[in-house]
Amino acid sequence: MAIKLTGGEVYDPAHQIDGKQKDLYIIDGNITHSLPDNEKITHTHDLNGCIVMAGAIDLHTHIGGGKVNIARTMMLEDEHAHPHLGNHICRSGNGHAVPSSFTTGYRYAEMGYTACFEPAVLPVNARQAHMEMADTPMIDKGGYVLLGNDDFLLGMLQSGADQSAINDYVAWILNASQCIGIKVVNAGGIHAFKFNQRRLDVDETSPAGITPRDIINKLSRAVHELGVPHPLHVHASNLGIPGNFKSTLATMAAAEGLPIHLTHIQFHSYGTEGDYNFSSAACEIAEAINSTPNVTADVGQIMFGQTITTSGDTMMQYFGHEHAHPKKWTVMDIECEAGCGVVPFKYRDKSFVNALQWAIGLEIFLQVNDPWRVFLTTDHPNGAPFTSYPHLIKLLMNRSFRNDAFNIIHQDAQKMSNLASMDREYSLYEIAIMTRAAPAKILGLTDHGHLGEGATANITVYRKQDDVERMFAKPALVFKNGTLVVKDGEVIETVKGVTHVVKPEYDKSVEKSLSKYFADYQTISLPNFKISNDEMIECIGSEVKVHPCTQG
Amino acid sequence: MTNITTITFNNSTNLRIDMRWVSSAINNACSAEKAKKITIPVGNKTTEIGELFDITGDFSNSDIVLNNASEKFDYIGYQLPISKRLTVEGDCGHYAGAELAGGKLIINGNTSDFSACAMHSGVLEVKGNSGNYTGSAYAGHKKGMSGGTVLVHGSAEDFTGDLMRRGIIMVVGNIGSYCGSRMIAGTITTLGTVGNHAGSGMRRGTLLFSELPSEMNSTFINCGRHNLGYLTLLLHELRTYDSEFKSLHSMRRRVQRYMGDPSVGGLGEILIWIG
Repeated sequence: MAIKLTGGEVYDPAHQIDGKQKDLYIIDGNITHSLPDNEKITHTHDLNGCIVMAGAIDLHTHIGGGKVNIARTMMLEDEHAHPHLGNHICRSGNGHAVPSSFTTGYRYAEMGYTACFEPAVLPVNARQAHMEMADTPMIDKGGYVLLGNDDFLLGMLQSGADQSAINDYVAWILNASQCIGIKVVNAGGIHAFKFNQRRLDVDETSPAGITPRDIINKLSRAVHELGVPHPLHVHASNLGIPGNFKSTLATMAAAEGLPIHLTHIQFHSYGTEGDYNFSSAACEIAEAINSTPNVTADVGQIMFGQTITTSGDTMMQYFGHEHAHPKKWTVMDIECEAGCGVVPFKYRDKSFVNALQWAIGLEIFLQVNDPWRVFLTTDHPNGAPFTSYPHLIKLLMNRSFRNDAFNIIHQDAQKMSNLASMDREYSLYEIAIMTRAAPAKILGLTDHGHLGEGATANITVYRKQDDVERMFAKPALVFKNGTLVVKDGEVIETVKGVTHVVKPEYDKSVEKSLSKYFADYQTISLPNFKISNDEMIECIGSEVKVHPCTQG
Repeated sequence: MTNITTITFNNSTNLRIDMRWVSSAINNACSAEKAKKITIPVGNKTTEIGELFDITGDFSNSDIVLNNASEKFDYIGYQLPISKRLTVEGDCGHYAGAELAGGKLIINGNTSDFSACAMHSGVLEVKGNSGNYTGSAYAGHKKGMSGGTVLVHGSAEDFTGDLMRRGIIMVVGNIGSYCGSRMIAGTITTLGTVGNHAGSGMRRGTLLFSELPSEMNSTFINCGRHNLGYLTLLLHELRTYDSEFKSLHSMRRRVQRYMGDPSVGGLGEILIWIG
């Protein structure tokens, strides 16, 4: 029982295949390049005039967890304005900026995405986040668990705990919360906010008596020493503050050469020059990324229009609450771990700051030379809803389209940006790198993001068109684990994805000190805090796929 | 014979029916035949309007009558445009007159919750009682009714005029609790009694009552008795509608004034008729 895909132009950067015509076969949900003798072809798809890529992977998109639900509840305007009727295949749903869980799954699949990663899973909210993601069909999921502001880790750092103890705690958290990576949001800053501090720079001592630099240093070392494939996922300090590029550079340096991933770096690339005391530092940031091979980044491009910002960074969300549109917002502490802030926002092309933010994101895309180290995200929904990816791809691939868009933004912002002088245009091969091969590589998903022999058959087929926005918005075919799920941009069959996790080894004795901490301070007991594999399958409803950690 | 479009419900379904199709039929000036082909979701099925309603006349007529209406019909008179008059024989469900845009909606029966929700302009006349959240905003939205007149001949329940932005709500009977809560501006008036917490969180606007609410919020400040000249102008407007409000003397203007709610700025007022 094999499905044959014939005649398509294959883009598979993991195997250096750049637009070569090649036949692929899908057998039992996996890709093969040749047909075994005893196999019969049940269906052949003639893909002449089509482009074949692996299923896309979004490595930073807020699709589950408490803050997304708060955003959904708060933005009923968004929910009412975008109802999605159900049909005999899909369930009904609503929302555009923060779609309901089922709608999120369908829209992602309709754009050819087959895996998405939620970047801010609070350990205490992990169960709820996984449940919500289990209700997001069509795509594989995974989460990055949030550390760096939790009382236990800060206490360890304060008391000068050695690296191996920190490693054990990090590994224990990854196991207990069923996540694939570690995320730090404004290291120490959310904790400092609880003590009425409104800013915290990288080398400033927080009320806990440590600096963000210490936290990032220790955590990136822990992630590295445990062999977790995904580097420490860092939301740097001072998000959105003019002049914050210095904190971003300091954060890169804090990793001391160990792998580090800086997320939504557009929000961390601001200078203080010009009449508005707000300027682009994209050049400095891109140069730093180019010259520091241990650093990877996703951009967090903004797009003009209404959206809602959801973040664990209470400090910076509180800073931005005055700009809420419509005028409602919330910021809250969450137990002993971190916090959460939800502020609706409308990015306007006639606003100097927003227009320059838009240009800064594109400047970073165009100035980072290595597409393996920069990823295509809008930090959904903070910069823009994920449904704007095809538009973003067109901005990157088509210079004249980009310049036309640039010419209508705020005049002063145009003067402060050198975007118009950049003539780089991304190729399809580079787009395939930054949306498929590179995310799979950095997440340690060995059988995803490529079309090699034995890979999971997550395949997206686009019909070649001059307008790449339309091409990427409506794939001709999408296969998920070998099942044809989308045809001509419409879901034709629903499937469930799995949850990707890592389970690094740790010394079990870490639970001794943890159980005292849980008994004294946490709202649930330690055994109830841990999510087992059985619970994931039987109660939460998502199978777990464990990826190996390679220590060393 | 004048041109009247009649819509008569002829189905026995107990499911709720979303009446927003009338608005699209009006916008497209549909003929009866064309309107019958419109499909709407009812329960878990898609149903043609022709299966639910008998329709005579086309939707370019300015007079429309809806017969056999019941409390299962939501969004009656949704976005009803200027120069249209929709008369409903029977009760209405939720969101009657939602986003009303200049038309006249007359309901010969009761309405449920969220009547005149986010209404822009026009007139909503309810011959019976009205439910909770009359003239308010959609749940979760920031702006309620932003213009026009709501006239309820019976009583209105709780949260009447919640987040109301502009316009007049006239209630002949009683109003429940939280009347004018979070009100941004506008006028609510009644001839009957008012429940607890009237004007709670109101920024501006006028609540004009014939007697003190059963319990006033402690944040409201008693400003004493006043002769307010503008009340004669307001009464002139109230008396243009064919209702019990005509019984108010046209030159009446003496009121007890309470100012509030100071917890949110407090430029609103509760006025109680005296003398």
